[in-house]
Amino acid sequence: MMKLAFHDISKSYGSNLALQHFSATMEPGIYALLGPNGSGKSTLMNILTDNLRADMGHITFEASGIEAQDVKKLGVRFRERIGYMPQYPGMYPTFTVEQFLWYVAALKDVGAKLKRAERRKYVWGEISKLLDAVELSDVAHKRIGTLSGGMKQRLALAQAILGDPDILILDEPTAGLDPKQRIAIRNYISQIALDKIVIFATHVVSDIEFIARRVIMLKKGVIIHNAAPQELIAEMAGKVWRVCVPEEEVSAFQQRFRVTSINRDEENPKNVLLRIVSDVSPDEGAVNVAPTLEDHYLYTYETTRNGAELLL
Amino acid sequence: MKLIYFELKKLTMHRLLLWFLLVCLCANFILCYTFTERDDTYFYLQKIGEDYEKDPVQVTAYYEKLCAQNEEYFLLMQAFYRGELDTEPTYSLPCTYSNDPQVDDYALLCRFFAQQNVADSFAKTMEQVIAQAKIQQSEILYSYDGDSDSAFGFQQQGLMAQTYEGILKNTKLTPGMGYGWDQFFRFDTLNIFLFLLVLVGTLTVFLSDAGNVGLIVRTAKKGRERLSLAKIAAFSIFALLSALLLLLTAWLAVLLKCGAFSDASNSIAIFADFRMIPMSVSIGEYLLLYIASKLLLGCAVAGICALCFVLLRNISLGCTAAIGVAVLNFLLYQFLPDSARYFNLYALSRFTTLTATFRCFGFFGYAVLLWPVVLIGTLALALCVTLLVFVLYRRRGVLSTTSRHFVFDVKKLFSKIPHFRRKTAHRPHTLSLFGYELRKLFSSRAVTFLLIIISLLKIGVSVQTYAPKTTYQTTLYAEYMETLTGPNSQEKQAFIEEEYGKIQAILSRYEEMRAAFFAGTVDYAEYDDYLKEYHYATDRADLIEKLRSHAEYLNTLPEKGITDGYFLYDVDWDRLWEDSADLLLIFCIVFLFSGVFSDEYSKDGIVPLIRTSKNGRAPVFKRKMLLSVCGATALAFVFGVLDLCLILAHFRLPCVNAPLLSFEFFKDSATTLTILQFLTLSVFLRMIFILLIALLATVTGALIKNKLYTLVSAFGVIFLPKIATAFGFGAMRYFDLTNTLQPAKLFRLSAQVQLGFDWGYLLVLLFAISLIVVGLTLMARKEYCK
Repeated sequence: MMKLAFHDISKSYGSNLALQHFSATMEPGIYALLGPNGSGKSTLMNILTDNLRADMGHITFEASGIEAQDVKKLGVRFRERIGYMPQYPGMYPTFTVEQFLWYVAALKDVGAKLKRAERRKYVWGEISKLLDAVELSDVAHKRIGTLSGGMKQRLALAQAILGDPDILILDEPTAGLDPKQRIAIRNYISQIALDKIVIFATHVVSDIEFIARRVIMLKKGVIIHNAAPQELIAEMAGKVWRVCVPEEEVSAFQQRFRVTSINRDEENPKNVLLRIVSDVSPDEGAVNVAPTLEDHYLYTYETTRNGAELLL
Repeated sequence: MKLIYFELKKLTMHRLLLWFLLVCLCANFILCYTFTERDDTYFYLQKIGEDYEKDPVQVTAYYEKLCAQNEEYFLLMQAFYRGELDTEPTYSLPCTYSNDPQVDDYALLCRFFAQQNVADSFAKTMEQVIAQAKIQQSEILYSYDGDSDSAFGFQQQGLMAQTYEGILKNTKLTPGMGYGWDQFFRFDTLNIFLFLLVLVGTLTVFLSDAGNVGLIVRTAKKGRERLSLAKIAAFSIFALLSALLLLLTAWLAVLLKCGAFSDASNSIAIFADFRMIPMSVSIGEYLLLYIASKLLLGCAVAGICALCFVLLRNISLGCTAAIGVAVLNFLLYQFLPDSARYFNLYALSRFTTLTATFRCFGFFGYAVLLWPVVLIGTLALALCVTLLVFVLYRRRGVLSTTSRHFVFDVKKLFSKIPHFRRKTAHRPHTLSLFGYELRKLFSSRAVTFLLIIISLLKIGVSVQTYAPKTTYQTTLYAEYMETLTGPNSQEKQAFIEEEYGKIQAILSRYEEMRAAFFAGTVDYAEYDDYLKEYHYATDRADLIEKLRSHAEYLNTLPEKGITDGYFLYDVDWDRLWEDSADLLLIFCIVFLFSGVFSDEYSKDGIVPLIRTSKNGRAPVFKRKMLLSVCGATALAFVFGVLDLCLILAHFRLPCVNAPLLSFEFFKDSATTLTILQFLTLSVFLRMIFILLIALLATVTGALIKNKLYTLVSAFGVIFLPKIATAFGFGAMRYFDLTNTLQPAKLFRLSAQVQLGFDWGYLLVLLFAISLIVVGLTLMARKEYCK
């Protein structure tokens, strides 16, 4: 059984504590790292991929054929099982899509055990499948510099998946994608994640709400929650309200409470329906509604607005 | 107004641009200082001029006294050569005007009075011109029917007379006239820096709004017309400032080197190139015209660069087009015949040459001279291109960095051809990491352009450097070598002494024969025969001295164990030994290979991506180092083959099996190597040093992780010692890495230093550089592969 364990990982940049005592155990499935910018997600990923040295702690990896060992000691044997998609995947603008994937295949030593001709055939097959999966087959011969942002993002994802790694580390994989593409990517990741450990860093809750096995919420480098999405949603029971207010009062509510959505009341256009996350009822007429993970996210991270403390 | 402020602020916020400006100004100053020649005689002649003005009779009498002394000495020397005197007469002239025994009063006064003659002759010529103009006027007065006073010809001749009277009045042909100014006005290297600064400055102005921010800017109310005007103002201001600063640094350099400038109120006619100019302009007024020409040229070139960027909307192509326009103008100037070559920007940039060449050229019977036409023409050009830039920028939009709107894609062109379309459709790709490293290096447009430009420069420089240089002297020398080539021998020594004696005997009879001819004791035919012999002797006098000196040197070789030092035609061999370092090769290597690692770090996220993969650390590191080694070898080979072909085609290099010590160039060493052995060793040594430099640039990039800083560091380490040596810090030559590409000079230096033996210093240098490279490589490996 594959297992990736983080033991008390800490990292600071000068006086700024980027990550504090991060400990978690991961087995095959999707693990969402949720948190705003600067919460430590990218730092954790860089430490895991050995691009950054942790000040404290270690990471162990165990799989079939590999006993639980520090990933630093495993070195190449660990790195050959990783697929990494950085947050800002800088690629070579003069390479074509196909050329870049071939390059990554060379870097990852894909098909290393096969003979030369077979290996090329195998790599070509893998690349073709991936290009179809991320819908880049039509632009395979185009230079990366001429691609749109969304296409580049999909290419970055494809290179991470190339070689069928056991551990997928995806830093904001759906950034810049339209809703249709995001759903497609989400579904694809969900499909391939059955026998992989997928670490999915994002601050878009809807990306992982329905596919993540566990959600690890980070705030200023500290784990504040590490639970299944359903558990987190259940915590919000009775804390999510819907209230109908006149339009003029909306800003007052926004000042005092976390308003997660504003919709016009279809029956009475002068009124507005507010969805509020709060421990206490925001208004006499407020009713509880079913919470979502996004409500939990806002509840966890948005504690002040314009310098004023929000009512919990 | 505010938009201009922001455009200028964007320029000044670009540290890179400011650093580039500083570098150009420093380089301009250094080059101007280096090329300027100080002539201390100017100051001595000033003193003589002052004394002459106080008491011309005394100075003239002193001069005549020195002339008499000199003549007396000359006659005594003649007598000595005829054997009439036992001892050689001594001769020392007073040096009251200078403290330098090499610059005696006689030489200075000769120059002073020669200048006086020139001044007198100038005055006479001017008076003749004035007189002729007045005569022409009179003729028109008498021959023209009607109101001849207002006739064009009458007016023109009157104006001519007036102009030359003014020139005569304002021109003081004093010794050392134009001192400092002549060198300042001729310093054309400044134009290169002006072009580069204007190109980079204009690029920066447009680059600031490239990409998505340009879309925001263009959507705004003032984002088109007003912004266009603001940008035009910004790059024009930058061009003006650059021109002014470059002129100032050049002027300061000349002032520091020369010590002074001559009187600026003197007429420009004091310069030989501007003699007989039909325009009364002082040096100070010409200076203003000169400055105006540079300012206007800067604006015009900035406008042309801006036009290239706005028209092509692509950085690389825009820069190439701008450089292409500059090169085209240069080529037109070089290759077009006669007057046609002056109708281009390059000629405009050489304002002094242009105005000197056409100093007497005028339109409408000299109603309008060339100079104002040139300046107005430049201004008109600047305005036209600026107007085009305004219109195009307003309509077409921003400079695209991603080439989305103008894709120069060679493959796309080929894919339209069915044959190539089939071929490229499913081209198999490689799984070789080395192949991808090679591709990364050469897929950059900047690298491609650089290689093309350097290749062209290399061809040009090599053709110039290794061009055959046959002169009358070298032909005579070759004639002697037909007899002398081969090992030293008593017969050859005797031949040289005999030839020397013959030549000296002919030379010593000169005065005697001349006197006899004028006295009538020798007839013309005999004197003519003697003169032929005399010319034969004077042509060969220096050569035979050289051969004697060389023979003496060869006689010292047996002490070093070389019994068969050679006489050989060493003219081209000496050129080879004295060959300057291939700076283009060094530049190419450092520029290309400093980016092997550092370019990766310029792309966000790619380095972590690579390092996370199985082969992304040690294997990639090895391939990158291998790329540097192979690339440097290939470059060195190509450059070397080009040079070799030219050398073999144009150089005469006999006796390759002669001892190396046959050349006095290597006199400080005690080597027993032959020329061929030394050349073979040189090739290997050169190759090793080239590889070390390439590896040094590569690992520096891996450690610094920033291409610009890597380039600055690498160029600093390589070129600073050379610059310091040029400025008199002799000790820095031992750290000059450019020497490593000149094995002959390096070996000579090593022999002079004598660290144990001839090769001591060279081996220590090789060891030290190798140690540094190995140390840095290990550090880089640790950093990259950790």
